[in-house]
Amino acid sequence: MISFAHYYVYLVHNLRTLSSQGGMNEQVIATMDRLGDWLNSVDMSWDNVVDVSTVLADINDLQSFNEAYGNYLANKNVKFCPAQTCFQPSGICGQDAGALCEIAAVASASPKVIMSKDKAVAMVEPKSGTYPFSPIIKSGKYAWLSGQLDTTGSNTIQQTQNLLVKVKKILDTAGLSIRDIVTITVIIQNKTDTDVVYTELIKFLGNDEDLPHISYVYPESLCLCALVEISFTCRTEGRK
Amino acid sequence: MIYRKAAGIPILTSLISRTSSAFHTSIVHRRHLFDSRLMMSSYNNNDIKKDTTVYIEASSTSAADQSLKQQVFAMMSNAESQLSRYNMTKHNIVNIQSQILDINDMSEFNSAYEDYMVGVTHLPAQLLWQAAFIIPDGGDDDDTVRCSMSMIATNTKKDSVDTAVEAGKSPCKPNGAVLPFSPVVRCGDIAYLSGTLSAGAGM
Repeated sequence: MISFAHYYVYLVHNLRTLSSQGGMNEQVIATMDRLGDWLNSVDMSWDNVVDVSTVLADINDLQSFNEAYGNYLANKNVKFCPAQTCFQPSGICGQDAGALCEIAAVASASPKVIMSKDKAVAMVEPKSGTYPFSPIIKSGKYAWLSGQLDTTGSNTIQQTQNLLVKVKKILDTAGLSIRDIVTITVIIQNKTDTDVVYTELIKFLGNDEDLPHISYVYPESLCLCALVEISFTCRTEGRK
Repeated sequence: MIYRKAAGIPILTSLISRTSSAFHTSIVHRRHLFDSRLMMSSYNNNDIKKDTTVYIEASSTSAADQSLKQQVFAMMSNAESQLSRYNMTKHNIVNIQSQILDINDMSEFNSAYEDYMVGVTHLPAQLLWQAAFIIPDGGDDDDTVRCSMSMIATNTKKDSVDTAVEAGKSPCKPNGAVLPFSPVVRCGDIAYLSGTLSAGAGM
């Protein structure tokens, strides 16, 4: 348990010792340690984390972030990597003072449901050489899908169509349906593509009048130079 | 006038979509109803409730003559208007993802947000970044929408935790800028953790 005073002193200490926090590995360790303290304050740990949102100051740091993040989870003996969405916004907090990444998380006290070994949904163990995120994490009444993207399509429409095929396979294999989706976060490289992505999403959702909640992010860059990335949250008992 | 009432449009568009026989019909209908400035807001299905949880989207009113504080208050008022449909208020918000057009506005944004949230004893968790663009854009020639939020609210009681931050009593950076968010908000089985940095530059 950490007290507010402890948190405050820790925060102020960090504010004053800034700029010399080292590279990505050091920053990721310090950030995840702090998140770990916060998790402990509500009787949870990194094993409870189901979904992580990461914003990078520079998308070219993705590989070093993934290595540091995956190693941290492995060192903490976290059995399965959380789902994750990652992108580079136009700016992150503290960037001018040397911040390389910011991490937020959602944790669940319910146990993670062990998925089948099917590659589409197989939960990823944090170890060297793998991307440190699981395609989907089911826990309690909810499921979190990692941000999905496709780099084989040559334009936003094709990439959207292709990634939605992947999403459908993940949902099917995980025993979920499109009608279980409650939130969608669409991250689009070019704002002029919003209409085509929305149109593809509506087709995917089956013209349902009871749509999920949809939010939009217009970043500086997406992972792997993708043009669109979409993440989902599902409610395992259905949207209705 | 429609332009001025942008904050109320999300609910209107949502109602239109629910009364149409087919959603595609409603999209077409909306495109005929609204000019290109407001069409952007129809990409969102702004508020939905599942069990005890509500997901909402709120943007500031698009208006060049509004200060950032006025935009934040308009955005939060829009959010509370949506929440009120589910008998919820700002006190029920547990997690926020904020987007602002200029990261240099963060201090002013945080200060205005904290002012609006006065009375909330356990502020939501928050992750904030600078976006290249914020929906609704109000048209290609209009970039006056400076902030938006994606929120989660719930009827489930927030667990008591020592690190809870109360609006008006937020910790400050050495330059006096406030940090109006709780590190963690747990409601029942789910916990939301604020975005954090190691560099200590802001979160």
